[in-house]
Amino acid sequence: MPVEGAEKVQNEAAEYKAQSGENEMDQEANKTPKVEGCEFGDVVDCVTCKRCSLVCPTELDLERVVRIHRYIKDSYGQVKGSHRDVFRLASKLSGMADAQGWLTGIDEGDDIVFFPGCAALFDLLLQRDTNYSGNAKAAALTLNKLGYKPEIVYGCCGHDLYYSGALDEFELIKAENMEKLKGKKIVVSCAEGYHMFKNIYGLDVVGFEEFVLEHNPEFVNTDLKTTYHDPCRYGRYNEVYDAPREVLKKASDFREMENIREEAICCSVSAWMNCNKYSRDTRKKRLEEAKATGADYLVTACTKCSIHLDCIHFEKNSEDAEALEDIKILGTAQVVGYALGVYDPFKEEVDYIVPETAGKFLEPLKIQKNVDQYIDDELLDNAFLCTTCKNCTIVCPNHHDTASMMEEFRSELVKKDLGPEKHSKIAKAIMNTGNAFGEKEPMTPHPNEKAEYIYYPGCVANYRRDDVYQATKKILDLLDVDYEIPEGLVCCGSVLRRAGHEDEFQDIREKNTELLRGKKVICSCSGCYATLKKDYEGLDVYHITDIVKENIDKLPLKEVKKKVMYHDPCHLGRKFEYYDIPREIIEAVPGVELIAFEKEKENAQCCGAGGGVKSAKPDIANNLAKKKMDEAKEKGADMVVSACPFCELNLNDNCEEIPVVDILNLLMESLGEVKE
Amino acid sequence: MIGVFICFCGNNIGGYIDVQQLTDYFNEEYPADDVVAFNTTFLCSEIGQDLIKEKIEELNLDAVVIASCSPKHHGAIFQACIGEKMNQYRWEFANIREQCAWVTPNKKNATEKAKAIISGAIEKSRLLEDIGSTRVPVTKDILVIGGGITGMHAALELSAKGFHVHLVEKKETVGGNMVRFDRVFPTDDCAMCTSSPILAEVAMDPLIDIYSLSEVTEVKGRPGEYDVTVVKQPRYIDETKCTACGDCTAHCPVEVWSEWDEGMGLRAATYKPMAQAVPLKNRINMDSCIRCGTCENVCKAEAVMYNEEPKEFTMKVGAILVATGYELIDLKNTEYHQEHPNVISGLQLERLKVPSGPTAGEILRPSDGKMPKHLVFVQCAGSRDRRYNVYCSKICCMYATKNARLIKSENPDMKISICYIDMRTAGRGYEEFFDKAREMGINYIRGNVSEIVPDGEDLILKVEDTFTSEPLDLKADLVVLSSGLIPSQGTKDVASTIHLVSGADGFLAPVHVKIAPVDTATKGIFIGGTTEAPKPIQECITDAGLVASRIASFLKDDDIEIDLTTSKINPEICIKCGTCAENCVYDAIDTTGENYEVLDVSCMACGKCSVTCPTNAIDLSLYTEDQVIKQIDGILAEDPDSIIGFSCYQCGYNAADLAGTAKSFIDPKIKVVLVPCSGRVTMQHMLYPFFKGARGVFLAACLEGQCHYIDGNLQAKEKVKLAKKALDVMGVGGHKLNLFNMSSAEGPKFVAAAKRMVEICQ
Repeated sequence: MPVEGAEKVQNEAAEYKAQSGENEMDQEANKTPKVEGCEFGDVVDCVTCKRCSLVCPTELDLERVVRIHRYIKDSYGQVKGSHRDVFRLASKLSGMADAQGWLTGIDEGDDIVFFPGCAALFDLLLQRDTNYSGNAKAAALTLNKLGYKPEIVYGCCGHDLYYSGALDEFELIKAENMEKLKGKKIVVSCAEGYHMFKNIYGLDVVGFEEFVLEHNPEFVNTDLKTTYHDPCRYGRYNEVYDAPREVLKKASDFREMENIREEAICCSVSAWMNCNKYSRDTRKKRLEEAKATGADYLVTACTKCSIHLDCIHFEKNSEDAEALEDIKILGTAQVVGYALGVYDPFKEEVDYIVPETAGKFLEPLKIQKNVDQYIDDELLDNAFLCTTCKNCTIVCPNHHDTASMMEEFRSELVKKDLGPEKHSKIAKAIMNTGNAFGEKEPMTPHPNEKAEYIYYPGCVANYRRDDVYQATKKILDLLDVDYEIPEGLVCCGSVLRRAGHEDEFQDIREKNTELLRGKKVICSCSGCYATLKKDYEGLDVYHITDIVKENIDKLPLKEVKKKVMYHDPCHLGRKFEYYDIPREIIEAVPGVELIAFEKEKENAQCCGAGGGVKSAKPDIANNLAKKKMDEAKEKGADMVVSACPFCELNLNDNCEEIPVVDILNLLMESLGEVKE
Repeated sequence: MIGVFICFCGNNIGGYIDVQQLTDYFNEEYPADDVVAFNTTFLCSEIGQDLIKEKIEELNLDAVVIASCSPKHHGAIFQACIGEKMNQYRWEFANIREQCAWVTPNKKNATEKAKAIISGAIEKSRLLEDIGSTRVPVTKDILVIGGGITGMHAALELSAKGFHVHLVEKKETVGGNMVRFDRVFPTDDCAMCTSSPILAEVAMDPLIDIYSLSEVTEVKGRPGEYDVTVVKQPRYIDETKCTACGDCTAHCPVEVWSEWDEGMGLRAATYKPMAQAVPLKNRINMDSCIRCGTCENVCKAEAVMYNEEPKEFTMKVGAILVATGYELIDLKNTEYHQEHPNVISGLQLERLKVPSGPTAGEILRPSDGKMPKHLVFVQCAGSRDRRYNVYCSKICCMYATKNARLIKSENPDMKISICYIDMRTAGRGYEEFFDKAREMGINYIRGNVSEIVPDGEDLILKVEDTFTSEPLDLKADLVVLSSGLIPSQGTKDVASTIHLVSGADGFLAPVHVKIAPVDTATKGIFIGGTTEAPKPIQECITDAGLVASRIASFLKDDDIEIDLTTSKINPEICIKCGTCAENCVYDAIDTTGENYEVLDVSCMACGKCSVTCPTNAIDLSLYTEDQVIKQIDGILAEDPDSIIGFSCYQCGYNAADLAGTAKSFIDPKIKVVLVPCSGRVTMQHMLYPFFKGARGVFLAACLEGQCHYIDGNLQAKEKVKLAKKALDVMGVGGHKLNLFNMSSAEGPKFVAAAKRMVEICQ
């Protein structure tokens, strides 16, 4: 896993969150997540930039999952690109017809192949007065300057189709391109084309910048003040970081931005999919970052990055457009062409000519979507690797709700009966017995109809952690909280939803909602808490620590002289930015020394059990728990405290030396109520 | 479940399309099984409507497809019928009469085409949503533009109904053309005697405010509440002080040709056009004033104001009547030689004949002031002539006959000839009027004058007498051209200020020539009189009464209901880039709040806002991006190699309907998709049909400068240009995409466009 840079990403995420937290200080604590982000969780909103791979605890191949998921949704007609989907449409049409030439003034031959890509189409379809195709032209002229007469092959590499789920159409385009390109050496001036030809086609391709460096031409250093934006397809996908920088250093007055290389922030749109206000904010931040370097030109090696980053400049009556007016966008080839004296980005007009084509009659593509052909073991493996810990959301440029997206994808697989057997067993157990463990006894009721509160113990506390169950009840009594546990409660269904058993979840939700609606619901389990609060509708849900924190003075706490580490449960922490209350409670216990994990709060490492991973892939869950507990051991903790019985189960399973207890257990100890 | 209702329309559809086979197809073979089809003889009849209502209820239909005539014909009837049982917008039409049955001679082809049209409507109807409405207040004031006989009469009618009227007139007095005539047919009443009571009434009516020398420069707002800007040109004489005593005129040293007298007489630089002028005030015409100061010196009322500036003011009105009328075609420097002093227009003759005119009613020819011996009327001068106007100006036969009769009775010795193509005297008492003229010895020559050749002060008219097939060289010493009527400059100006649609003839187009002759496509804006077409005075009066009634109905309540068929914004994905607001010519997008919002009352539902939205955040109800795409899917699923013709509601679609009414031939491959405005067609719409196998795509848009939504067709033009290039780059071929401009009345242009597309896309 390319963890280099992960730390920086996390720090930056923490900063960002601290800021956004400040802005919303006045909001009722723990009610609303403070991370402003794309909360749709829709698969079209993922930018496939792979930034999340820096922090994913299970290192799953999200990009692959997203592509197949989009394919499935495309078969329902649910994938729609921005700009009314016209660019994907153009890709498909380019594939159906014979793409025509548009580059002018190039000395052509057959030394190598130059693939100029789609920029001219983008120029036309965007209806902006722009010249993104100038980059390809500069590249072609540069090739001439280096002594090459390239054969120019027009067409679409299919990147956007490939990444937007139009996989069948992509295969058709690929086959056509292969015929023209196979066995030849190809130069491309666009990171997307580079990535596609290299990794998806498996062709002999060289990036324009690398090609230029190989020939080491004499540069006339221009006085352009430049900085470089790493396109994901060059950077994180192919680790091409240096070549573009080197040519820019030779050709211009170059300086670096803050987030570069592995940590580079994405231009925030992928395959023309997901433009929205969050991605726009990301682009704005990126331009501000570029401007802060003192550069006049933000240079990139990807046509699409250029277009998306440039977008803000075309806003009407926009303060941001005005403020960022003086940071202009150029392509690397444009700068190189300028420095080699073959291309002037400041004079070159949009001058491509288009031969009027006869255009044969186009037969509609005969495509039968067949999802099964793309589902293999590797995909299934990846799909069920996610612990829904949301660490990815923190580093995602758009703070996209990847976990929800995974849940939706899993539900597609479960529909096809492709989910892990273990999950199906649990689902069956829940449906048959009302609890995940298949215990025959129903959840223990505590009749008290007049009570203001309901305690929802959940499966783990009710069936496996009686200590937590008892502690909660005891503390509620101590705090004079009048509560009931209604008869007939069943599992909250968290594991069902996380694992993609959506139909069953809906059933369960209906049952519980009827019993829980209208009262204040207290949970002692973070998983239950998150599910009732976020996946149910119309409930008033509290975590037990909310109640404790409010009334902590009422508890006669006695000294517990222990070094304690707090493990942030993902479903409490990152999901609700619920970090401080548990810590404050722990610190309220006299004598306790609270030691921090190296990665905590929004960067906390997941225990590994969530999202059905504990049951379906126990090794992975155990390894992650071990890792976490090793750190606790190293730091000399006497006890690890958490606020989720399920995390505690998994952590306890993987460490014999240090007890992992619930925050309520700690309180009970402090109250002198611990039974030895 | 979607219910498809197919109409036989008697033989109108049933005679051209196998309706039963069509019905069976949708019941049995159509790929989707949630479709049920029914047919009936006349869907618009009570029986037909009952069938629709019954089935909606019985089958709990989600949407209805009406396969019948053009929605422009009975759309409102079906909407109301469906509205009784479900949301009135949960239906889609399939125009299988005008755009299928009537343009496709082969029954099999017509039936196949109807399948595709209905399939498009079915697929679109799946995405229909309920559309609500809201009530917005109306202003009860009314603006009448043009103080001619139509405008005055309508103003009086409206005032009688209790409405406050702003009457804006470009000239120095109201009255229009009629008050400049001598007499009017068929009664030979004195024009002034008939109109002066009206003038006086208008002048005295407390509910009518007259703005002379004024023009409307801007109209904003919405039906029921228009913000109107008016600019009043300076009179240079204080209207509050001037007593119209005429001292200034008497002392003014300037003499120039009088516009009021059509150049037949002279006027001073300060004058009032007629004794009955309203307002009865003098004016100084700065075009001819030499600023000698005489008038200022002689004016006892001290009313002269040389430095007066134009005044701009605004008013709020609920409805607008455009009654800006006509003018005569100018035939100078043509084969009619109107520049010759003794070739005059009918209106010039009227000025000569008026007793208060420059010659005190004597017919004296301009070159030498002598009484002509042979006076010849040239009919259809500039009318019914492909070089000028193809239409008949309707009033010339009668006005020439009227003047000939009057002159003949006063000057029995004068020879009077009338050269005509054929006499059109339809109207009560008209034929009798014409008979009498012949009895009086007026010489009617059936022959079109091909040329007028000046011969010194006289003229030789080349004409063939088609009764005797004899070519004639008529020698005349005064020629009166019965010049055709054209829309006045004021009519053209107002049309571009308010964005009203005109026909191919330039006259403003009503929403329906027969059944809604004074309504325009814009609610709250009406037309009347010769603004709509050449017509005699009595028809203008009829129009005025009708239009007053229509406006009164429109403004009868304190508020009106507006259907929210407007654009909608999804704030979650809107990036607030401002392109929609920039595209909106109605300022209907509020960009000031935290989220962008569409102002429902200002939105005119053209959809231009949605075409440049990068994030798909804004879309137009009833014609959403996906609904249009679905319609194309439906059409092309039945007939993949069709040619898709996006036709704008105002013009292209109407022209296509007219082509049907005229029973023209249109290749069945042509499939029309209705859009509110050509500017609503997105790049996706232009490209998508090709992806599905379509042979070609075209847009049928309004004439340039006549877009009902101001610049939609110009935006479409730009977009088509780019899309054509893009299609070339893709290798599809840009020539397969085209834009055609046509007015709503130009059915033949639609036919030609369709033919051209079929040729191109072979």
